[in-house]
Amino acid sequence: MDRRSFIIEGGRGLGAISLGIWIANGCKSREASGLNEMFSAETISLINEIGETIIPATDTPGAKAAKVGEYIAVIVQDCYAENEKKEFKDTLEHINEVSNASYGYSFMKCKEKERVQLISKIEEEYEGFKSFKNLIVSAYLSSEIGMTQFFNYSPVPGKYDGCTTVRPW
Amino acid sequence: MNGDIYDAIVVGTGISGGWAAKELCEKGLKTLVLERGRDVEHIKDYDDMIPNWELPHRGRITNEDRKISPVQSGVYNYNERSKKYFVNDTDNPYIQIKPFEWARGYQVGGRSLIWGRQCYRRSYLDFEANAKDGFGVDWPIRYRDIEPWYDYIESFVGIAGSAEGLPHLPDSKFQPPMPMNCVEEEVAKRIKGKFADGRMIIHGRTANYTEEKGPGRGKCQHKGSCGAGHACSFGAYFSSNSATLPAASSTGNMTLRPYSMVQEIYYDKEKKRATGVRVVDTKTMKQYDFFAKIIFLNASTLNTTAILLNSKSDVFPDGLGNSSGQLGHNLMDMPYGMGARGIFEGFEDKFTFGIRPTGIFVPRFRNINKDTARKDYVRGFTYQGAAGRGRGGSSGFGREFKEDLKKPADHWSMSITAWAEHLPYYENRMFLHDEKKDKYGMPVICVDCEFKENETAMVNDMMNSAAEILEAGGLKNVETYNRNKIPGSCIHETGTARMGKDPRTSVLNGWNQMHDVPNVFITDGSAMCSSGTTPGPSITYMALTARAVDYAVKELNRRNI
Repeated sequence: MDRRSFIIEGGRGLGAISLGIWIANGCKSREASGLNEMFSAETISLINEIGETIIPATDTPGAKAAKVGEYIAVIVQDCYAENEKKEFKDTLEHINEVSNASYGYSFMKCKEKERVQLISKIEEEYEGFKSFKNLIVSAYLSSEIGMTQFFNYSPVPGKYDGCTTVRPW
Repeated sequence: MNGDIYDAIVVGTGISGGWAAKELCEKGLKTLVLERGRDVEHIKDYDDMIPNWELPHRGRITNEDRKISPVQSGVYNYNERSKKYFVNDTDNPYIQIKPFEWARGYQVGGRSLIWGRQCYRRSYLDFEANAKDGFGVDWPIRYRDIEPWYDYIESFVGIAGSAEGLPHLPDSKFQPPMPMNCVEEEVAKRIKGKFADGRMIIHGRTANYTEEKGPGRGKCQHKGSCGAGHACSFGAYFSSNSATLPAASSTGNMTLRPYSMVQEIYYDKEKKRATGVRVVDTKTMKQYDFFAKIIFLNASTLNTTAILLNSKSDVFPDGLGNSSGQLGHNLMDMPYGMGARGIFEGFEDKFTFGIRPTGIFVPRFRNINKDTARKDYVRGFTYQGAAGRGRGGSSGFGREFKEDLKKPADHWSMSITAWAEHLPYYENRMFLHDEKKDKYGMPVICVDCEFKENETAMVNDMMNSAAEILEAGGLKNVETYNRNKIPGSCIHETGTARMGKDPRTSVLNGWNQMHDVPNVFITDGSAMCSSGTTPGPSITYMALTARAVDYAVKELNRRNI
């Protein structure tokens, strides 16, 4: 995968202001925390597709539209400890292993129904899936789509109401 | 530039340095304000309005952060956005003889950009405590000495809170309190009168404005940035950057010099006065000397004392003004993190909207009189806490799982956590390393501090009493906890250059003036004789600063210094 095109792709969701922060924080370049140092574009697509099975598009966009894969690639690389990185990679591999064993092809080639069956099985049987799923959820909920379309977004509430009947999120 | 002469020099721009600058400038003194870090201009340099999803890690701490700043990255409000207000531990090393978490912010505004904003006056109990139980030295002042200065500064600071008329928790000059939520209100009502020792729940007292405070100092918008350690573009909480430094600047008397690390104070043994300071420019590494009639040290507890210990001369071979040998000793923090939590059945149709930068408070109820005296420990503790209702859990995956992510938790929950007094012990101390220096050439600080028997003796009571309060308030499934915080992590480090009546056992007199060097004043946390029982020591540093400046300028005009 061409490194440069990936950087441009990753830049779209971030905006000009955060670019300034990257520089201010002393990152050598966007590549220093770049997405394709640890994960290939294929892996990022795989994370997005698994994410979409967990959080599908409904009346609001799902995990894929929220680009959970792109974000997770950065988080696992930059924030996870070595054992957590390994657990994350093992889970991804395990998902494809089970897919191959069950259907004879990888998760990406599975139809939606097969994906649902597969994730059901893995959730039940595989310990490492719990933290994997939590990461997908947090990636989705913290995305622009998650914060502004899935949840109600009040960046400046302007008041504190300690007893309202309206659910604020 | 080298050798410039001013009326006054202030070292440090944090919460007490900001006040020293404001008061000195407003009294007409040409004042040089020195800050070792970069400038941070109110509003202009803040990034609290950037949406979280635009941050590369959406707030998370990276492995690189942990590597560069192993201590700072563990501070409760260190995150991707706030980290620019914390130091880089690698460039600013210190040695932990015993575990000590030292949170630092080296920039204009210091830690006033990342402080917890809780403000509680010390009471008569706090100022009499050392004299009564014999730990530490007696405070040279009493509550009545500082009371008018609390009044004076609080009207400028702006503190949201409720007047309760408690002698052991004096009221401040309040703005309207931040409201309690429905569960807090109900629990407060239920425990009222239930405890013979007077336990009660009141509004937290916080320097977040519920009324406008003037240009650049708007009302709280409840967006949650200050709690996460971000500066506030609305100027809705008190900081040096939003309040005192602009006031000082508007007089035309302030010269603010960032990147200026004071390493030494010069002493003239003929005149018996300090004459000026030696500064290292932290950008260029060049040295500069600046001179003044009076010097206010407000570099934060450990750094102020480090400057003094590093200022050696024939007269003061162990550090400037250290004839007592007390400099660096009697270091205190506050033990905290013990409490209880539970769930509340009721108000299931209710939520909270907006983020409140404070919570509820339980005033001290131990050792306040004969009836509440304990046999197992002296002094006491208070609680801070809150009730809230977040989202509930969701299981499975797919469409239903996604919708369930919006489900609220079945119940409200509530917790209260204790903050306690740390006694002054001579052995708890900081000192300078004989050989090791940081990259600016300043000897590295060593910290040797621990909690001892009295602090440990309170732990179970802090947990159990919290559970009693919650149970009396009707909470269910109440369980206790102890977060086992190490010294320093409360970020209330105090002592090390204490006040006192006797020059043989203390560094400063009752006016925060050095016994040995009368034109040097110290009004940051290092001046404290005791940690006090209530959290929020900053308001006391601010009051002591305004009081000391008033005295210093009068003494200057009388030609006594």
